Amino acid sequence: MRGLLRTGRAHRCVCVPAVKYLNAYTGTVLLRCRKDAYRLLCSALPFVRQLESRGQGYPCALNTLHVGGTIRTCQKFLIQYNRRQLLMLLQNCTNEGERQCIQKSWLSCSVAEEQSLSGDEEDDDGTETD
Amino acid sequence: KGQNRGERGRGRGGWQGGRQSVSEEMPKYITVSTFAQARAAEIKAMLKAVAQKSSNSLVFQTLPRHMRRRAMSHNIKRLPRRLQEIARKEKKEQSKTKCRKARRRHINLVAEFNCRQRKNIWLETHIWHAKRFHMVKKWGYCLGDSPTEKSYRACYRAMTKHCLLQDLSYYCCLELTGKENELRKQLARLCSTDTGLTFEEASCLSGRFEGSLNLYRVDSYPEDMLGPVTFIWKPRDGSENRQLWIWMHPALKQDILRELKAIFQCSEPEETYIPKPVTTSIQEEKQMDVLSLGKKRKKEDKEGEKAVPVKKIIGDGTRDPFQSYSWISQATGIVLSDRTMEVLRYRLIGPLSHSVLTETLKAASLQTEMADPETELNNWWVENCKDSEKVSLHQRQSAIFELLEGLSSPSEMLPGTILGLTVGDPRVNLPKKKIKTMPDFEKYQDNAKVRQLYLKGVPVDCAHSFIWDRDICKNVTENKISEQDLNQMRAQLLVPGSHLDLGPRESKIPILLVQQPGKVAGEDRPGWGSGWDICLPKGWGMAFWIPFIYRGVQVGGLQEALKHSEYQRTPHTPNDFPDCQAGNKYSYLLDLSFRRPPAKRVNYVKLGTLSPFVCPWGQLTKNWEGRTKASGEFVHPSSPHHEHCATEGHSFCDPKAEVVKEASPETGEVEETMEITSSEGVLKTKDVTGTQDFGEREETMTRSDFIVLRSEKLLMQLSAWCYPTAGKDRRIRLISRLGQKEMTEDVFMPILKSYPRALVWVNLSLLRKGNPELHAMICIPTEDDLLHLGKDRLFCGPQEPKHRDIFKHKIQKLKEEKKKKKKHNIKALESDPTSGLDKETTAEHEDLILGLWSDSLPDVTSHCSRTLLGYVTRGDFSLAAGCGEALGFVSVTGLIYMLHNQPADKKGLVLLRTPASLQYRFARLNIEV
Repeated sequence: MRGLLRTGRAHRCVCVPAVKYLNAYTGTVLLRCRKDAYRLLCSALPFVRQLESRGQGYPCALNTLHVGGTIRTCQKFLIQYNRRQLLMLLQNCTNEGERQCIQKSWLSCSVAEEQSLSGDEEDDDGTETD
Repeated sequence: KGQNRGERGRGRGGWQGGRQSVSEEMPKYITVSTFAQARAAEIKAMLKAVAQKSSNSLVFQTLPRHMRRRAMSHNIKRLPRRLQEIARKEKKEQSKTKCRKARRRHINLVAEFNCRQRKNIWLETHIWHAKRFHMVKKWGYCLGDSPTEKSYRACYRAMTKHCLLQDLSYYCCLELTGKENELRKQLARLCSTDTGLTFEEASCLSGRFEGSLNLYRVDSYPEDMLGPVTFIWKPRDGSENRQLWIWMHPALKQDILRELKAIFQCSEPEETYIPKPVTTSIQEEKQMDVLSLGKKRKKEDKEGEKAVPVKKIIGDGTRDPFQSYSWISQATGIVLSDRTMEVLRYRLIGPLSHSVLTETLKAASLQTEMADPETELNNWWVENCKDSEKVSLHQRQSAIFELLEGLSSPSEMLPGTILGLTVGDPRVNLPKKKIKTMPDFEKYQDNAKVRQLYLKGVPVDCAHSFIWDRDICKNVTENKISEQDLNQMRAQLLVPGSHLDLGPRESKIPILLVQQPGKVAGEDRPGWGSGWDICLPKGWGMAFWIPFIYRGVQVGGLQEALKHSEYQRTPHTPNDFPDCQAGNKYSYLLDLSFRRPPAKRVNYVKLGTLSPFVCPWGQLTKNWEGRTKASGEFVHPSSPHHEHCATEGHSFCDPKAEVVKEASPETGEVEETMEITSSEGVLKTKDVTGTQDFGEREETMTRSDFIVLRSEKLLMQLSAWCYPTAGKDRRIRLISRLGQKEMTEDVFMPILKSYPRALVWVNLSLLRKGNPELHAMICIPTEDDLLHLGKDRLFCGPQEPKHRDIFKHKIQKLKEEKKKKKKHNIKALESDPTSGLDKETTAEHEDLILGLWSDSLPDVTSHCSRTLLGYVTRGDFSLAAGCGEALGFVSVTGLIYMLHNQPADKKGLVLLRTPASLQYRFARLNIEV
């Protein structure tokens, strides 16, 4: 991520965001940074063109989905967001096979959903989801 | 919302960067199943993460403030319902093996108490004290420190106007039995006539008075102090064997016991002397405890009658049953036995203490018939009552005891008067309500007998008591009617609340009353703090304690004892005896300032306080000696005159002084070697917790470095010199009254010669403002100070200029180095985990603490702007004097130097400065003899 900011803009690295969560299948990344630097990070993220790793560049684009106060709220947001995605997919699906497929996966996660979520604040770091 | 995911399953979309290797076009389609599955998996993971509790706080602690309720941790139902389940899991199960009722059952309670007092001895009044006092564990005992209720002033008032009661049973009693001549011969080597009484004092030897003296190691006076003791001889009873009790503070016991064993050659533990040693019974009791503790209650129930009731430990519960406590010398037949906790001792302080005594205790009634021929109850008393001579003695004793009520204060008796007595059970005549006893002086207004009592004192034969007889004591202890039985008998009385008459079954208890003289030295408040000590056989502690309480006495703990001795201006054992080992051990206090964060601590280096937590007596005396040597002479450095003085010193000083003189070079050598070792020790033993280190260093340094001046003659001399001459003839009159010489060089030079490193106990009272504290510094005022004081009536005292912290820079440097090393270490550890060596090197430099002198002290006397004379060991606002008062030690050399140079009307004026302040305050120095 250090590299990200350096390539993205020509300013000095003022914040060191940490990758808290990465899902390659859904393409979601949770970044955490200090609260005073979150606007800086927000403005820097759209300019990311590629990520470098071991001398190789991988082109990518980052889209900010949500900016939250705690990791916990971001996780809660991800739940909401994915649920919305599934719903949208269900509405847009064309054949019966797809519909059943979605319903199955929906059910698989909804079992765990029964557990109550306890809402509480943790730390003051700004969190960004992409 | 558009689906602009970068990657999709196997589809890899993205912008077309410059690279052609991975860059492709946007995905055209998505696979529903993988897409949905991936999302479902993520939802699942997130749900799990959200539900998980991350912090290790309890559930109700994580609730926002507005949802908190009182007693949430106790009552789960006060939590939100969604959290109740989690909270229920969190709540710990209370591990109560027994219900409260079972635990409080007497047998279990006693067993538990016995178990708890295995490490530290409990006094018999422990439970009573534990409910009302802050308890401290000291000297192997559990002792009450001070009452939990507000009682600072109340205790003082009780001491001056009514009566303060203290349990002194923790004081140790050593008993010596043997031929009088043998005892006297050996004991004379332990003390010196210089310091006052000896064991051979005629009035004490007869058993009529209690004496107090300072013990030294054999033939080594004035060095090697063992500690202060009090002693009582058993009155002569025809046989040539005499009994002697030596009472001492528990901190001094080991040293004194060792010394006594050495001089009497009592090496062999002696078992046969007592027909049935008490230790065995204790052992049995202990075994019983262990058994009953190990068993479960049910098991005990099954055993039923077989289970033996656990007996309460009476006496010393911690004593190892295999360790002997009685030693005999084969050569002389002298028996030395340790009677600690076998005889209880209570102290009543205050002018009305004897009226409390007379109210509480009633002399035993005569008895000619056994109550119950099967038991041993009172058989000794019945035996005794058959002898008409003893009966008449008892009657005389009780007559004198009755007369005591007519005295207005115990100080009217001769100091240390002993009165033996046999009393009835004090529990019988307990008042219905707690009352404050007031003497009825009218009754004794013109009683010739009372007058005779305090003119002649208690006759010798009345000092006899049966408490000296071990068998009788044992009998009395064992045949005590239990509280329960007594209450039952009370319940069966025909008229509830009427006087319970036990008749012949009432126990008779031998006791010993010892008068405490109170304040004898000095001019003001003579006889303040006088009172009575009462010695009881063990087991009867509470039986006497409660009746005393019902007579409205105030009870004090260790703090009150400290205050008592402070207002009496006497040194308190063992803290105020810097020259004996026990005193040394307790001379340093655990620094309270180390409980504070570093930024809130006082920087003592800046204040010019070299040793805020200990008094460097050795260094002080050494520096003063060095000063006198350097200047050679105080005023006129004329050598022939000096020699003249020295020779005169020989003639002036008694032979003892010569001995001292000869001994002093030796001690000097010893001391030098000590110095070297100690300085090495300093280097070695230093660690981050500075206070302990200080204490240790002090201990190594002070041994045999200095002496405390206790010779009465010299103290008188010094005391006379200290008086200012307000009206000039006053001191001269005083000096002539004391038979002392005027302060001239040929008088004080020999003192300096013979006691180059001596301290003297002084008391200081502040002239104006100021509240002296522990380890405050006593300094010599300069001439300007005295002039200023003479001009300005409101002049409080000079100020010490601020010092520079010479260590600050060093410490900061060290800190930085440490930091660097740490970083370095971490790096080194990453690369090579075996490089922990340089850690040790840093540890060596960590002896520097901000605000404290860390290496060996510079010249303590001349470090500040005013020359240091000594230190305060106890200081406080004195309720008795109405101003700040301090007690402490000053160097004799310094004192004489100061007195010599001071103008006649300002003699004895010194400056006091507390360790955490720059302000000096004027005080008047006094030596009371």
